[in-house]
Amino acid sequence: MSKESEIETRERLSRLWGESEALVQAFVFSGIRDFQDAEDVVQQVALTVARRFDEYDESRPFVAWAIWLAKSRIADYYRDRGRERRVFSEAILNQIAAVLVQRQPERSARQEALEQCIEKLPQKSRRLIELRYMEQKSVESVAKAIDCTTGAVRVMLFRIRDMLADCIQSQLAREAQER
Amino acid sequence: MKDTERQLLDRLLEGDLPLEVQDPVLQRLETDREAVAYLADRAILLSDLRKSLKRRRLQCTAEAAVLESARKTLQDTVIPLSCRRLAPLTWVAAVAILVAVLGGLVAYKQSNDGGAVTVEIVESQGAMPGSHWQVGSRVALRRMMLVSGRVGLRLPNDVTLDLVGPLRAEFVSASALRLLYGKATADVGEKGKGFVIETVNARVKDIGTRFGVVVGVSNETDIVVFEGKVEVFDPARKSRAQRSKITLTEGEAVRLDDSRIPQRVKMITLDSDARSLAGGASSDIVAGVRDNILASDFRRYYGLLRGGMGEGARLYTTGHTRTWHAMPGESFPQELLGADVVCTFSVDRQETDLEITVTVNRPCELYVLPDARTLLPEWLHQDFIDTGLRLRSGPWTPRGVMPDPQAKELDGTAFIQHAVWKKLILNPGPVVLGAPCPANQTGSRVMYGITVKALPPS
Repeated sequence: MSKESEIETRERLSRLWGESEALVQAFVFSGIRDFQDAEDVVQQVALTVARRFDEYDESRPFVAWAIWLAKSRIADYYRDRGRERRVFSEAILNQIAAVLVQRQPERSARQEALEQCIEKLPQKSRRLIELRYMEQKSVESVAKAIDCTTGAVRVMLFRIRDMLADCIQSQLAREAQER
Repeated sequence: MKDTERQLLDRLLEGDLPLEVQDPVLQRLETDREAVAYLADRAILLSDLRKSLKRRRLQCTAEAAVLESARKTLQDTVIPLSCRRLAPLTWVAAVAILVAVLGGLVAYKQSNDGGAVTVEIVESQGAMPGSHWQVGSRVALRRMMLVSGRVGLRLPNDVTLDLVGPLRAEFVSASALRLLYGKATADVGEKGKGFVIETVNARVKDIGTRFGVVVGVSNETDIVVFEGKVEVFDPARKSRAQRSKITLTEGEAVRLDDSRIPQRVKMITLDSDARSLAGGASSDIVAGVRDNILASDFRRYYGLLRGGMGEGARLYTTGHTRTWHAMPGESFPQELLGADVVCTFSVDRQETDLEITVTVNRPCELYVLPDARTLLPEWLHQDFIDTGLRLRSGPWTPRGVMPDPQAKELDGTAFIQHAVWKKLILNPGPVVLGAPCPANQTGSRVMYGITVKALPPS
């Protein structure tokens, strides 16, 4: 391969991966419970994608191919851990993958909307999601940190997720109307 | 779907659903497309949320550090300091006020009262031209404030202080500095032995050394030893008998916060000489380095040299004579020049179950430089490719013996050849590296080096 075409290939890979990375991440996070492990697996998927990029069939969506590779990496992950139980069966993972591929066209709009929606959250809610999703604390630890019961923390987190999901939807709807 | 059903799906996704109640939820997912679609959407939301929060935290930390400096400067001027995103105009206004009040990059408050220490300015980066804070001038100082830039001060007792802004500090005496915020490196000569840097959470006493102290926005204190030894005391305990102390030696670093429980600091960003604390923003490529060594008395840190790779770059955080060199008759490989260097530590060469995790912020190439004389570990063959490049480390002379590179060059025994393996990282995040050699291998070897270079923007 000439140097120019190597650079072009690398750029194309970088662009396609950038567009699909968040969905691959969502797929891996849904298949592996431990957040750190899931991050490591996403890293392995990225490496596999780079290594096997010449096998990618451009007539298919890139994200579908990347998720297909991610599925093998998730299987490897559980095989290496022996008796640890898989969260989802192959059939459920396939269905999740299909939904994620469908969601690709609205990816960047969703991410932008989320940024604005987080701004609208009350300070207490933000602290709660930081503890749970950034500091990776268990529900029990969060409850201890904010002096609450675990049940109350679960309900509050559920409501915040709903609030964010609704906010993203209305933001997208508003933008669609303005167009 | 009912809220209770959605809550169960959320808990399943987050690994918060007990095993005994998972089966009915999984069975439902097998047949209910709406439930699967809900789960996939929640997975996207959580993934985006984690990413956004992580980025906000990084941004917030940087803003808080600068605003803390601005707030202290303006004393009663109100500038929001809470850890939240600022509207762009607020941010611009804060910086404008800061610049207007200070009228320059570097400012000091010189005290007229007693207790001032006469110092010689030996280095000054960022001082206003024509000011009396020029290299070579002598000034009497008690309180100091450095908004940005870097200043070197030589004290009468053979102590040299390297101060990096933003910083606030005051001399308690010629042999003690109180560091309120910022970074200070002390190089203590024979006459200055016993020099102290004190902070809210630590009292650091030199016992013949070069060491650095960093006080962060929450008063957390990081203590780093570049050479020699220091003793660290709890400042809250007044009597000598009450004071418990930690002794730190070359290549070790700890953090003390309000809990006063020492925690190992795993990565320190070093200046280009690898013997001082770096100023400015942290690396935009390497976010952190950690390992799986859990021993409570193990306090070694990984040193990060931003853009420091090249001829003579430091290899380890200890043993300053050991540096990177091109192969004889060759120039230093262009591909590696200017990469960030992660200084490892030599003692790790014997670890057979070592795991080093390098977290990167952006797409990059991560290089591992193993000892080329020995059998390479399996993990390297699996995830990395051999670039074919070779480098040398050395000179490897006994500790305390200053090397004579020319003489050693002749017999070639003082330098060790390293291979250069690399891995393409497209997705920022943690990258795990393994032990330097297979478990069953014996014989002499040296610990591998690590460098990281960002990919050019596409």
